[in-house]
Amino acid sequence: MVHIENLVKRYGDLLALDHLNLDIKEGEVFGLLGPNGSGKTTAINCLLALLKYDKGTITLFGQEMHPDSYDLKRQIGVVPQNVAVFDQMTVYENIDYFCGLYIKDRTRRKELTEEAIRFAGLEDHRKMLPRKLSGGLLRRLNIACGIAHKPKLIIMDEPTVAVDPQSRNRILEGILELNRQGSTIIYTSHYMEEVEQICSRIVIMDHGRSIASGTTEELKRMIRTAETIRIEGIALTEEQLAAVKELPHVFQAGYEDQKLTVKCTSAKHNLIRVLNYLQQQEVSFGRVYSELPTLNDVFLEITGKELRD
Amino acid sequence: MAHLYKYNLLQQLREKDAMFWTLLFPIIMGALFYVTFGTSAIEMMKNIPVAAVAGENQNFETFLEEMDSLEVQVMTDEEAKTALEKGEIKGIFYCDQEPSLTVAGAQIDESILEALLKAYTENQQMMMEIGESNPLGLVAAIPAMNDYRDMVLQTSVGGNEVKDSLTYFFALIAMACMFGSLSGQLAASSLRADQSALAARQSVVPVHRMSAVVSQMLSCFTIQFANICILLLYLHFVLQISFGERWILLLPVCALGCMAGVAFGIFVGSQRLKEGIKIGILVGGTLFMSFLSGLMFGNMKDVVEHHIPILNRINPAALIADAFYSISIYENMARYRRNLLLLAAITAVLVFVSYKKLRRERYDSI
Repeated sequence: MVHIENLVKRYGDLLALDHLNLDIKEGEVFGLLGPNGSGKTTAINCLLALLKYDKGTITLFGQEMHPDSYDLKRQIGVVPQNVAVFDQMTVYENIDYFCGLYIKDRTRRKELTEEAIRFAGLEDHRKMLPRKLSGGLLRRLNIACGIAHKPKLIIMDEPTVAVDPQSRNRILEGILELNRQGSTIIYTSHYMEEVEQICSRIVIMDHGRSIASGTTEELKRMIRTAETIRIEGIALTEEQLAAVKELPHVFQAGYEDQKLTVKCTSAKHNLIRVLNYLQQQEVSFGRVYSELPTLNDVFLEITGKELRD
Repeated sequence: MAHLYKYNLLQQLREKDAMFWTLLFPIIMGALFYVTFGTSAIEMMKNIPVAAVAGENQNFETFLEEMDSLEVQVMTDEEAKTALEKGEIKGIFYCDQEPSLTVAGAQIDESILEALLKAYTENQQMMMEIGESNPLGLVAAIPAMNDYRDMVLQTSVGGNEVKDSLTYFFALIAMACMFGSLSGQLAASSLRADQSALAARQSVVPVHRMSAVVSQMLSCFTIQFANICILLLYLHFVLQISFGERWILLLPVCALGCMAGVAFGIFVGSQRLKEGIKIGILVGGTLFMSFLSGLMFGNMKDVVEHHIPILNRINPAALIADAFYSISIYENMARYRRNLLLLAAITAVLVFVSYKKLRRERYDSI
């Protein structure tokens, strides 16, 4: 459905997109994950023919995308990163306005507008001006304006930034519902939990490049970390820490502020082995956590830095 | 297109800043002018009642009767003097070989009558001299008689406070028309993806750019023209300013003036500048153009005409004010038509250049 090949975009000396390749299939919830400044929004803006790019090709629905590709644009819904609605118009008017740019039939437009209002949970706020809405409701309005016309392809650029958890959950559930209704979704975020929760396939971006891609499970299998063990309220000597590092399947161990973090490769009983060693050494400890790898671990292991930097 | 137009209209109607400048500000200025000039402006467009006492100069009597700004009654000397004493007329013209005037006071109307007589006498003298020295020259001079009449009229109103008061109000309406640029600017900025998130969103919808520009322009024009009509009604009914019998001719000027104002705003809005800078250019530019058209100094347009006439041809505010002026002063419509044509041309150029800037395009950065 969307094909991006060798896309290069420079802002002066800054290389914003470095030979980016993306291939998005119909029916996917495709996640574009990366820290701020990794090139996600630039890629989206190039895709939408808003930005000039230096090299590469972009095709949507098998056609090259141009600023005047109105037939293609009719099939796309966009939810921009920053809230983009008219301050002078009510919730209903905003949604009706954007829906009307795609849907000519007045009756159909009205139905779709009502549906979008229900979808975003804005029934009680339809006559309110955007400035009267809370941050979460405003974000929902921003989404409703982009999806009311039921597009085949929905591009959501960090739609949950600065949203309260309740609104966030509602938005994420809504995105999955849109996908069930037949829309393909491109979802950019720097929140790994969200991407992990809703995306069927993910590309991790850094410095304008795609550094890894696949399903969540595939991405996690790419790295050595299979389990992270965290133990709090522990006092270790340097010799004991060194001994932990030598335990089977442990490839990294760190000790700081009475907290021990141990990273293990895929194996059974990693936690039991570590706890057995501490018991043998008669080391007392507080809380113990065993965590499966996250996308942050994937990002950390590939780039050497935290995703949320 | 109707959908776009409807919502653009709605959005602009609720834009309080633009509505202040385009509607309230001119009304406030109008009230201030009214307080400053008193009723002189009210009187200026009313015909001045005069008596003509018949004599051997039939030409002068005909000339008086053809003057739109005069309400001439032919009387005997006795009747005229009685009427003057009662205040029914402002002056008595004696249509002798050497025309003369008797007035009872030294107010504005009397000044107009004196200036009128003076201009006629001077021009009559000029024609006689041409006839004596170069009779063939009369052939060329006679077609200029229409201009001569215009000149007489212009002179009659030109050298006194009435004209100044009038030009202030003309310049005020011109300024109000040009303040349509503020809504034009907002409209154009909303079509440039690099100006705001909303503009970027508007740039990815399947609406042809020409439709977007035209609908924005139409909605801006609708509101601006309605505002100007409200201003005219306010000036006429509240401040009691008469626009004369040919007031209907004001409307095409106002319509084209609004278009020019909106086009100016669209032109500035289509440039890649910060919002504050654009508004500064528009407010400053509008006030400067209005200044040149006589908003702060009544004779400014004449000063510009004398020194840099081209400025008066490319300044929409001056063209608007001058079109109003020509309706009030001249019977000949040539100057009125010229002003309208120039306004239309300026609007067309601004819209064309703006469209070129606003066409679907990719940006270097957003």
